[in-house]
This record gives sequence, C-alpha cells and structure tokens, in this order.
Amino acid sequence: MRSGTIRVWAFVHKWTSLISTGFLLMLCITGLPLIFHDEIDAALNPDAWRPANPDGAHLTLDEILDVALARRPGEVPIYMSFDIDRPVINVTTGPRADAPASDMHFASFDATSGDLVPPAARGETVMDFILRLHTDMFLGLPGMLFLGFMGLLLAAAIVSGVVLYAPFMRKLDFGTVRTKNSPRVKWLDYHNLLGVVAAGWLLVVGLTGVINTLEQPILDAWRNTALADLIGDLATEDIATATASLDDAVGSARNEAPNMALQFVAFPGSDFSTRGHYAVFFHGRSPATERIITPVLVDARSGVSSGLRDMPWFVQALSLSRPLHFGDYGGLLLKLIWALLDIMAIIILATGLYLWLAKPGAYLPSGRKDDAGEPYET
Amino acid sequence: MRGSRMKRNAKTLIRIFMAPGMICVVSLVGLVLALLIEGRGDIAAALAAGAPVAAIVWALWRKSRAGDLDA
Repeated sequence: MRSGTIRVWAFVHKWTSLISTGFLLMLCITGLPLIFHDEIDAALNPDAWRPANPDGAHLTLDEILDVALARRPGEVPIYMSFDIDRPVINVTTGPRADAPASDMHFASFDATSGDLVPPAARGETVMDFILRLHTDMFLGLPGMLFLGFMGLLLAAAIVSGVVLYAPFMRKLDFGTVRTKNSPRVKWLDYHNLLGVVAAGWLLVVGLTGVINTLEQPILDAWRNTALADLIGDLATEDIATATASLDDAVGSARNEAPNMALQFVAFPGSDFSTRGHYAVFFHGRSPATERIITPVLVDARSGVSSGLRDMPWFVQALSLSRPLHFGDYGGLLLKLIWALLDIMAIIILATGLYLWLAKPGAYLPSGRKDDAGEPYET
Repeated sequence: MRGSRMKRNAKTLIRIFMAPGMICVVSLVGLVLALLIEGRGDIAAALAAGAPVAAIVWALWRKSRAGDLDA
C-alpha cells in the first residue's frame, strides 16, 4: 500500500472514530446490562402471581372475552394478546373499535379461571432508564437517528481500521503484542489485535443497531403502505359486528399457520385490522422467527380465513436486527460471550482514544518510528 | 518486477488476514446458527460466536509464556 493511500485511510479512521467514540462508549457501557435485561428485570421485579389452577384446563377465548366485556359494560373488544411465559390473556376494550389509545382499557385475565390478574408493578425502572439512554438519549426520534449516524461512523471506522491493520502487521505475526518497547506500542498492538478479531461482531452489532434506529419509520411505512393496502382491499362500509366465534376464527387462522405461536388478535375496526375481519397475528417459534409476525385475516361474520399475509422484507429485517443487536436470543452462555465481546469493544475504544492522545514518537528516540506505531509501507 | 511484487504483496495480505479472517467467519457463523437452532447446538453456536474471545486468550497466554521464557 502506498503511503498516500495509507494516509487517506488513516484520516478516515481517525475522524470517524474521534467523532463517534464518546457516544459509542456510552452505547457499549449501557449495552452491557441490557444483554442481561431478562435476568435483571426478573430479579428486580419478581412476579409473585400464580394461576388459580396451574394444571387445569384453560377457558376458551370466547369465555375470556365474555368475562372481560361483562366487566366493561357498553364497551367493545379492540385487542386480545397472550403472555408468553404464563397463562394470562390480556383484553383491550374501548367505547369504539377505533377509539384513541387514551380511551382504551387494558385488563389481564387468568386463562385457567377467568380471574383478574393484578397489573405488574410499572413505573420507571433502572432498566427502562438505561434502555432509553441507549436507544435515543431521551431525545425521541432525532436522538435515535443521531445514534444511527454514529453507528454508520463506527462501520466506517471498522472498515478503515481493518485496511490499516495490513501495513502495521507486515513484519509481525498474528497475535503479537510488543510489551518491551513503550506503553504506546503495547496498546497499539492490543488495539489492532482486539479490533481485527472483533471486527465481524462489531460490524454486525453496529449495522443492526443502525437498522434498529429506523424502527419507527419502518413500522410507520408498514402501517401506512402494506397494512393499509391490505385493509383497503378488504374494506367494507361499516364495522362488522363479530358474530363468528373467536375460538373458531383463531382455529381457522391457525390452519393457515400451523407451526406458529399465537401473538394477538385485532378485532374488526381496530388499527391493526379491517372493518370486517379479525386479524390474527402469529409469530415463529425459533429465535430467528419469534420476532417475525404474520397476520391472518378471518371474516368476522363467517369465520372463514382469507389467507396468510407475510410481513414485507423491511419489517422482517427489523425483526431480525433486534436480537442480533442485543445478543439476548441465545442461552446464558451466548449472553456471557456477548458481554465479553462488549468489554473488548470498550477496550478498543479506550485504547483508540489513548493512542490519539499519546502521539506517535512521543516515547521513542527518532529513527525508530516503526516501533512507535507508524505503519510499514508495503 | 512489477508482477512479482504484486504476487508478493498478495501473499503478504493472505498471511496477514488468514487468522483474523477465519476468526471472523467462525464467529459470524456462530451468531447466525445461534439464531436458527435451539437445544444443544446452541452451546456450540455460542462457543463459535466467542472465537474472538478465544483468540485474545490465546494471544495473552502466548505472551505470558514468552515472558516466562525470557525470565
């Protein structure tokens, strides 16, 4: 590589890193507890609730719906959703199916007895605070998009860093750390070694993070285009009174998606359905597909399904970006490895900052520039 | 000769990037497999994803051994 080319890559590496390092350090440090958010949440807010008949049969969906509506006279059902790890069914009701969120009422029921389940302790927890700081720094969409831009700078810093790795390593074996020369050379070698081995993981986490910052625009686009088209195709004049049994409707939807798990039902006229259909949403069962949601529309009068609708590719990409960014999809071992990789990223950022502050040549006599961390020309 | 120099440079690049490239591939395959499979394979996938950590442990071990030999 010619020295002019090296200088250009060094310029890219230096400035993309310098601009983003502070924010990336914040993201790495707040990201560390977020890897273990399930474990930390469970420890901080233990769930003391137990079902009335743990081994008993579950009530039907129609029965739960009747219980919920009996408690809210004059209201109509809007959504029904299902907890993943406990037999709890949540029912959202309101004065109209298209009522604004502020007029909606949310209640949870024990699927084994129909009893009301007390709401979980909510409020601002430590993990909520860390997540907001990590996601948008409490600045909403502009904060999110700004952090997304920092992610793009990180990608540029990684690519330029890998390119610069070559001239540094021309005369050194992989894994060499020269500890006898000067602290700068030692930390340069650590920075290069950690950076090059973690480059693949860092790129994955950085780029999926960038995709995650586009979550709101992506979901808006889905609702405004794909789902709107679907609803428009099947539009009817008035909101249908659901006469078909909910259990039958979910049953016929399940035939369209036999290997998927039920996530939630949107009732006719709600934001996520048409005026004449139940929209039954399923998710996959593997870590790769459990965040990919697929709706099936079922006629609310006849209970006949009108088929499965796959989510558009950009929503599927978003669904896969979340686990690949947070590392919370595997077992505890993967989370621990994710944490170690995150600590490596923190060391890469800190050593990078140190190398910039401790200018080359500051520790060594002239004439030994190579040892001071100048790249070899190849 | 220009040609032989280019050949030498390509060889040097392969030597430099062979180990980090392999670590990167193993690590990314592990990340994707952990997403796709469940059960026992999960542990193998997680270990593959941890290839960069293993490389650092190896480099530190090699350094401390070299230190012992020097002393």
